[in-house]
Amino acid sequence: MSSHRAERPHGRRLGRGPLVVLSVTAALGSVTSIGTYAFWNDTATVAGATITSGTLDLKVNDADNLPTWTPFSMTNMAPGESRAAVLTLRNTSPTPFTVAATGSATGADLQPVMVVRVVVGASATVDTSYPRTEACTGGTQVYNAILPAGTPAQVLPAPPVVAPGVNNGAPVDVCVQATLPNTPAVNQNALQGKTWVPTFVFTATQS
Amino acid sequence: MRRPGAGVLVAAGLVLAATAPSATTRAGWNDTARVSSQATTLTVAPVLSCTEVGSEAVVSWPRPVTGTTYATVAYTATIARNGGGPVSAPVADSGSSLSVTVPNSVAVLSSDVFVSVTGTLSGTSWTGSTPITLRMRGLLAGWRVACT
Repeated sequence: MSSHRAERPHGRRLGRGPLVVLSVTAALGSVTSIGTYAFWNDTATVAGATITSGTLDLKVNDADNLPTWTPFSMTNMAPGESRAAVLTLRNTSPTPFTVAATGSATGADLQPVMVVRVVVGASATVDTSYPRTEACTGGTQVYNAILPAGTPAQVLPAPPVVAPGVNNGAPVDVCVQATLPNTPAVNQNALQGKTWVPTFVFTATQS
Repeated sequence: MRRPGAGVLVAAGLVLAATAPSATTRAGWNDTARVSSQATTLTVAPVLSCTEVGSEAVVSWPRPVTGTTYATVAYTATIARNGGGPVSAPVADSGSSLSVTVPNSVAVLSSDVFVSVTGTLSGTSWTGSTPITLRMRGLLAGWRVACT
């Protein structure tokens, strides 16, 4: 009896060993090559959120600066007369701050004699008849001296807190009074026809 | 696995504390507002002007205003001519202004007349004087006054 074996087709076939090696290599290559394989990913963009910086804004009598504070100006001032007017400090920004102030004056003849009072939370009286004697009434006096000609003096040493809020915060009234004393010791006649220019700088600092 | 020791944690805390803003070093916002004004003082010495009225000269000056009223300045006037001593002259008060009338009788045919007005602010030591010279000339057509 003859036995027939089917003819193997021509050509070499890979043995089982190499196949296993290939399969393992492919699997490992596809799984362990994290550094080069691109996983699935997805992105979600959130837009529309805007952050804007706040503001800090000090207003004095509703102005940024008062180069000519008219209510405090005075002409033909005579010895014994005094002038008083109120500055309203207001915070028109959402940032709370405190306020300090310095003061100085020019006018060589009047600077050494003109006395200045600064009163927080005070009001000013009005007197238009000679001799005009206006004054700050009420409140807490924080300065009562001559304004220096050089380095400004701290006229608001205990800064009041001005609360935030546009037009409805907690404004602080600062009354300023200037008096030309009728002092016999001073050569009064030398004070005639002179000019005195006080300057105050209010600084609001974020609190 | 090693865990950081207590010393490392303390050091890290110090670093964080140093980088955190503190009240003394924080540079917050600030804003400044500059306020300035001006006061001028009174000049008691009058500002004189003169006019010829007929055969006389009238020296006048405005009363200084303080606020809504006039300052209480009292004025005296003197008149002198060349070679003569000063003589007090009456001051006329019309409210807003004052004046002194200089009659031609104080002048010789051609002479200078010196008028001085002194103001004193009531209740103070403030005084001030202003002189003015009038040149009065007697001509055929009458007197002529020139203020210098």
